[in-house]
Amino acid sequence: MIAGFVILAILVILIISFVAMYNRFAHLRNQVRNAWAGIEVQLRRRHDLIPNLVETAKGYLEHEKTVLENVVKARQQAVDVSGVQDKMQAENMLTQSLRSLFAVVENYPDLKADRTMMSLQDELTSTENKVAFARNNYNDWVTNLNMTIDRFPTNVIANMFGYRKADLFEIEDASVREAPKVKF
Amino acid sequence: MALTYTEIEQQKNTRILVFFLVVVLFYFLTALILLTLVKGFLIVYMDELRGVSIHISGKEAIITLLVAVGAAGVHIAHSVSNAMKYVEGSLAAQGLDYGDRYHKRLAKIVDEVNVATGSKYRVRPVVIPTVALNAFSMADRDNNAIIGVTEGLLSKLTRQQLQAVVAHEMAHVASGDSLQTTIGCALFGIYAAMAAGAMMGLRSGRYVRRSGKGAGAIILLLALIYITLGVTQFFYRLIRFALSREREIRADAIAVRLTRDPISLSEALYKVSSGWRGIGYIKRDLASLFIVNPAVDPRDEREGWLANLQSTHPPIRKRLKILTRMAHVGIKEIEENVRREIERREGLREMPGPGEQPLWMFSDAEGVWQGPFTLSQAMVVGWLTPDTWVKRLEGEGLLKAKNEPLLEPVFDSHLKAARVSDLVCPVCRQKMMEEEYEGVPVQRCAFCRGMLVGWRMLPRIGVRTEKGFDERIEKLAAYAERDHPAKARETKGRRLSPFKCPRCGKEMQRGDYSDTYPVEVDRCSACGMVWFDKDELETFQYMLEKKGVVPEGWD
Repeated sequence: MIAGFVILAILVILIISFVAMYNRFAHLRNQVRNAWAGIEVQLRRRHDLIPNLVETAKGYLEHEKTVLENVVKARQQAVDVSGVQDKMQAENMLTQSLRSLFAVVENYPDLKADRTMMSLQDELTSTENKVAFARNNYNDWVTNLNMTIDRFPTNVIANMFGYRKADLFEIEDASVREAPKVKF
Repeated sequence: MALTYTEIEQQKNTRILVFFLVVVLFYFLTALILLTLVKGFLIVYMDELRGVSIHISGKEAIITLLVAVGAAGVHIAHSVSNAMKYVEGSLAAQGLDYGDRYHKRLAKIVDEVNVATGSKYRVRPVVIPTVALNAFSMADRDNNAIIGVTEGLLSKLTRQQLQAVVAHEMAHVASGDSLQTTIGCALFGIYAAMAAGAMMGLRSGRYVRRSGKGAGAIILLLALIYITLGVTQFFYRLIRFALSREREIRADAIAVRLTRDPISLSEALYKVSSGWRGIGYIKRDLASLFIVNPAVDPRDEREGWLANLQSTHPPIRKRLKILTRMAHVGIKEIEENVRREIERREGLREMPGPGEQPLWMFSDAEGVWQGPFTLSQAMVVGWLTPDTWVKRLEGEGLLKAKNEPLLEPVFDSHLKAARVSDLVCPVCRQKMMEEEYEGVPVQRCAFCRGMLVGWRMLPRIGVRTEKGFDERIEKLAAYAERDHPAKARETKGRRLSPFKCPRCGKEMQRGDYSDTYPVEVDRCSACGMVWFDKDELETFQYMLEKKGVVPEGWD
C-alpha cells in the first residue's frame, strides 16, 4: 500500500520536473529570440542613420569617393543579409567601413564642425552604444540557454527534444581583440 | 552572483506576495481589534445585547479577513500611483531640459541602458535640483519607472560613471526592488501619517472631555490603532531593512553585468560617498530609494546581523571591495583614478579668452563704413545683404558679402534660425544669440556681451565647473563684495529696472542677487528670466564656487 503511494509520489514529482524543465527551454528559447529582435531594432536604426550621414559628407569629401562607396555597399549588404552568422559578419564589415570614414573625416575640419554632421555622429554613437547593450542582453540570454542545454538534468530534455545551442554575437575584428597599447 | 532575469522575476513575485500579506495582516489585525471594540461598545451600551459574548466567531473572522484583503488590495494599488508623485514632489524633481547639454546626455544614457534590459520598462528620467550627489529609482506595477539623478551628479561624473549609476538604478527597477521600495515608502508615509493622526486624536483630549464609557472606548481604540500600526510598521521595517543591504549589493552586480564595467561603478560610488549625498534636502523616509544613503550614518559602515537590520545601505567599503575584485584592481587604484581625473578636469577649464574677434567693416545704405563687426554681430545686424560691400580688417580686400565665404552663415537661413534668437537685448536693442553656457541654454547679446538666463538654471551653472576664472573676474568679485554694504544702504533693496523683460515685456526688478552674492542683476518676476550685464554671470559663478554654497533660488 505504502509502496504504491511512494511510487506514485515519485512519478508525480518526475512528471512535474519534466514539465518544468521543458517549459524552461521554451521560455529560454523565446527570450533568446526576443533579445535577437532587440538587436535588430537597434541595427535597423543604425542602417537608417547612414544614408543621411553619407549625404552630409558627400559635399565635403569629393575626393574620398571610395570610402563613402564602401560605407554604402556595406550598409546595403547588412540590410539584405539574413541569418545570425551572416548578419554578424555584415554588421562587423559595416562597423569597419564606418571607422575608416570617421578616420577620413578627422582630416576635414570643416566637415567635422558641420552641425548636421555633429548631431549625426552623436546619434550614431548613441545607437552604437545601444547595439552594444542589446548585444550584451542577447549574449546573456544565449549563455543562459546554452548553460541549461549543457547542465544535468536539463541536458537530458535537451537531447530528447533536439535543442541546440545558439551562437553568441561575437566580435570578429582582430584589431579590436588586441588591447590598445597606450604610449604616454 | 549571476542572477538570471527569470530568477529575478520569480523573486519579485514572491516578494510582492510577502508584501501583500504583511499589509493584509495589518488590516486584519486592525479590523479584528475594531470589531472587538465595537462589539464591546455595543454590548456595554445596548442592553438588548447583554449576554452576547464578545468573542469573535470563525465566520466573523473570515469575513473580516476578506474585507482586509480587499482593503489591502485597494490600498496598495492606490498608494503606488501616488507614491511616485509624492516622492517626485518631495524632491522637487524636474523633467529634463532638452536644451541643456548635460540633461540631454542623461536622456541618451537612460535610453541606452534601457536597451540592456530588453526595453521592458518605460523609464522617465528626472533631475533633482540639488548640488548633492545621489540617484534614485521608483517603479509601479505597469512597468513605468522613474530614474532620478541630482544636478551635482550630472556635473561631477563622467559619461561612463553616469552610465554605471543609471545601470545600478535600472537594475533595481528590473529586479522589482524599486516597485517594492516605492510601495514601502508610500505605505510608510501613510502609516506615519495615520499614526500621527491617531496620536493627535489622543492628545487633543477632544474625546477625554466627552464623559462616559464611550470616551474611554474611543481612546482605547485610538491607542490600539496606534500600537498596531507601530508594531506592523516595526515588522515591516525589519523585513525591508533585512533585505535592503543584500539588494544594494545585488544591484551593483547586475549593473556590472549590464555595462560590463565594474571600474566606472566603483569610481562613481567612491565619488558619491565622498561628497554631500543630500541629507537635509532628501527626507529620511526616502533614503532607501537612493544609491547611497543620503545621511552619513556610522551604522552603515558596520557589518553583522544587527547592523543588517538597522541600516538600508551596505558599507561603501564592502561594495567597493566586491566591485574592484571583479575588475582585478585594488581600491587604491580607484582612488587614484578619481583623483587624477578631477585634476585633469581642473586643468581643462575653459579660461576666459579674447572671445570673438571683429573681422569686417560693412558699408551701409548711405555708403558709410560701419563696424567693426564679429561674425555673431553680423548675423544679428539687420541691414546686411549679399550685395553689401564688405571690407576685411586683415589685409586688403573690398568685396561683396556674397563673395566672402566666412559670412555664409549670415545668409544661410537654416543656420541663422538655429543661432539667432527672437529676443532682443534690453541694452543694445539688437537680436540676441542663442548660446550655451556650461551646457545651459542662454541668450547672449553679440554687442554688449550681456546674458539672459532663466533663474531656475542658475544653480546648474553654479554646480558645473567648465569655465575657469582669471584675475579680472576675481577682482570684479572682490569689488562687488566690498562695495555691497554701502550700495545696499543707499538703494535699500530692490528697485524698478529701466529694462523691460525681453521675453514677456513686463517690468524687471533690479537689485543684488542676494547679500551673499552681491551681483547686480535684473529679474523679471513674471517669467523668471534674469539679465546679467557683461562679466556679471562669470563673477556670480566665481562667487558661487568660492563660497561653495549654491543657492536654491531667489532669496
